[in-house]
Amino acid sequence: MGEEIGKYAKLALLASLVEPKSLSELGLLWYNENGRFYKKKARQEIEQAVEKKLLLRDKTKYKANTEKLISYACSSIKNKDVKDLLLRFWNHPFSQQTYLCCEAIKHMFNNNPEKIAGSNPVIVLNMPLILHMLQEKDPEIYSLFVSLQDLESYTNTINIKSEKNMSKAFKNLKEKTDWLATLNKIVKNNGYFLEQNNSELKIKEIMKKIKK
Amino acid sequence: MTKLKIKERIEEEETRKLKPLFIGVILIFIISILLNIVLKISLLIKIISGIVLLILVIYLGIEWYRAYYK
Repeated sequence: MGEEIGKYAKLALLASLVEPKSLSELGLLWYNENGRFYKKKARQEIEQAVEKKLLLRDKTKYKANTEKLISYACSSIKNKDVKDLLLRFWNHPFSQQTYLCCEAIKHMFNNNPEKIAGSNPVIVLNMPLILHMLQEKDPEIYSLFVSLQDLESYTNTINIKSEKNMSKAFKNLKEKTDWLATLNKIVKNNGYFLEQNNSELKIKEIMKKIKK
Repeated sequence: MTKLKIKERIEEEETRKLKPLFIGVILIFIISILLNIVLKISLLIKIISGIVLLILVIYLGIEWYRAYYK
């Protein structure tokens, strides 16, 4: 999926996973200038992404086809149970609003659009699970990973967003504990989803060491 | 180092809401054993205290339901 779309389409896709964004909002978000996504190249790339149904157009705004990205990310997973867990986790509004909001994604890449352009969009789904898993399995590697990848502001944003979304996204405590149980089951799989996703992250080697 | 606090936050809430209920159930269990086996009291008092404990169990059940589903 990463190679299928251009830089601007990728930026639009990752910024609009939760809320639709106009071209002007996208420009302001990534480059602090509202005209950037009105350029010919950007518009062409976005149009192509719309044709491929990766982006959905709603009047003047664009919204990423989050379901398609989630199913793409899970498509390579062979184990049906893990696949179901991941689909259930990512299709929950709390997971999407917390981990896939544009602020969190912006901080994941340290506000650097060029970094996003060179990455696989599936990483935005893998990163929070990697962090949860490392925090649970090996807090030392977690600390190392967060500082090496410069993810301090990303983890902060996730904590703030989760506090904000918790009361809105969950109806009751039962739903919260069910969501947490799903996350715990994914974490217990020791990075199986990561191996299956053919992630290019170096953390894959670290996870293999933890498994041993 | 910033940790992800989501799990902690949900577990804390679960404990905060459900801990008093578990303690209540254990206390009722202990009291019912004391009344029925240890203390030598009349059958009437046993029945009355049994009804009171049953009401308490129902109350705790309702509280548990409210904590989980409301």
